[in-house]
Amino acid sequence: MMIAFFIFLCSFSIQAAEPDSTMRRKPKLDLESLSPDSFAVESDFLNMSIGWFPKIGAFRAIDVTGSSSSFWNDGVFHMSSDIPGSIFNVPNLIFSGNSVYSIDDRIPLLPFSMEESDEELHEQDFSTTYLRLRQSIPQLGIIMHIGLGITFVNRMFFAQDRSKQFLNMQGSLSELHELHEVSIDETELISHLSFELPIYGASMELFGQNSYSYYSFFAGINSMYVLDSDFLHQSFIVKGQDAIRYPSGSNILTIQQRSYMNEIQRLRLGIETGLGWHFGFDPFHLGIEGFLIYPLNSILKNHDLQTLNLSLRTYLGFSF
Amino acid sequence: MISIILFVLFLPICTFAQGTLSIGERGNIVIGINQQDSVTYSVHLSNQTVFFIDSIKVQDIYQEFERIRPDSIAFMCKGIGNLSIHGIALAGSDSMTIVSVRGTLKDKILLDTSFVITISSKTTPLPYIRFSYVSENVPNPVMRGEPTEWTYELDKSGSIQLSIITLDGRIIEEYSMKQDKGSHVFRFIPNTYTYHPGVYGMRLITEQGIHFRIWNVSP
Repeated sequence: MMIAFFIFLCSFSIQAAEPDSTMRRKPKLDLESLSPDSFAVESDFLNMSIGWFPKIGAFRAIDVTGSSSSFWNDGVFHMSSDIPGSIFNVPNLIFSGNSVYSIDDRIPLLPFSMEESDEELHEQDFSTTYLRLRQSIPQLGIIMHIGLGITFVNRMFFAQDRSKQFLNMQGSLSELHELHEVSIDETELISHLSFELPIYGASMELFGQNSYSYYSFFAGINSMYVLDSDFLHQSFIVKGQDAIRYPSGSNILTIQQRSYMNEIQRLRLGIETGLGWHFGFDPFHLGIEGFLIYPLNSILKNHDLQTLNLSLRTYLGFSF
Repeated sequence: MISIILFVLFLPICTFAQGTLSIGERGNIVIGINQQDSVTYSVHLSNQTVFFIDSIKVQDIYQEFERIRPDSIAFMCKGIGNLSIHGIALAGSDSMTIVSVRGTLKDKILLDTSFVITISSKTTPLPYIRFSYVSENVPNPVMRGEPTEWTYELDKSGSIQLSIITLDGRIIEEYSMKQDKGSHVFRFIPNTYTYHPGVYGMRLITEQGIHFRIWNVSP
């Protein structure tokens, strides 16, 4: 009986002692000094990094990357204005990358009719597809990209000619406005080397499986080698097309169409930079990147003509 | 005799002031010195789509002129001095036109000469072709058994088809032929049996498009 009573009393003393011990415990961590947005956990089986400049675990992936004009816009921005037409063998015109006329003004029409024809309409275009190796370097906290692919780019230049008039069938003068369009349609082999710095996000390596989601900044160098270049010069009747046409009856006249390989710089260099969002869950990787390619040399041999590319691309990759 | 002397006086000084004109560029033809008042001049262009005459001067005095047709003008010269014709080079169906100038005074020919105006395009090569066009018929309305005429122009030679049709599209008569470029006249006499008083259509189909006109047969 005495023993049972002693155990009963002891149990009370243990319950009563707990609040006192909690009050007296000195905290081992100063929680206020820690940023709640950024911390790292390391153990034998879990590595985790969250917040600004997260440390991405070791991975190596091969990506299929694609960019197309349909994502956003045509992706080609002209760095030169008032381009003399003499470089395109049209000495009396001044070309630029923009036109006051809309794409509707350049729609091919049936001969001596205002009905639209099925003829293809040329548009400025930039698209690229390549294979890319992404290799993280955890010691430096960066990811290296090495890519090789193919780019299709159609650069277009426009010039207006508002100097002409014609005698309409009623016997009075009418204005004839023409739009000259030069397009340089190229196929380029593209290679690039760039480095990516994760800016914000989270990375976790659990039992050797890497997963992450982060935003990053990247920069590198691109080299392009032109495989094929075609030159097309067309003239469009943009005012007066309901009364006068070119001899074929169309509102479009092809003036020059030829290979342009002799006039262009085949090897071109550019700096590539941009921002991206990346997600990985081994063995799958995907992401989207907004990028800018700033040219370091001219498209043409005899004239300083440069265009920069600003576009979006997506990729899908697999670890190996 | 006087006319021969005047012609000889005119001839050496008839010059074309400029060489080849570019489309949109203004040019002038210096015909010579008009030595008499009230000389009547007629100017004819072989291709009116190439050059448009918009003013005529004697010295610095503008002359009033009448545009008889798109390719012909006539004027009576007032004043004495250098006679010049001014105009603008057009986007036309050819790169040259012949300007024929004839000056008469009291039925005597004082001047009969011609010049060639050559037009070039610095950008898009020539020629340009206009849509086909049919003028209103004259007279309109037309009496049955009497002729009426439509004028139409072709900027290039080719096949054409002229049809007299009802308003619901039924073809009453149709004519097909090949024609050279230039101005043409279609003369038609509606017969008494087929053409009742009312409204009809005339359709021109060319390689330069289709044009349609309404015309009337009067009771």
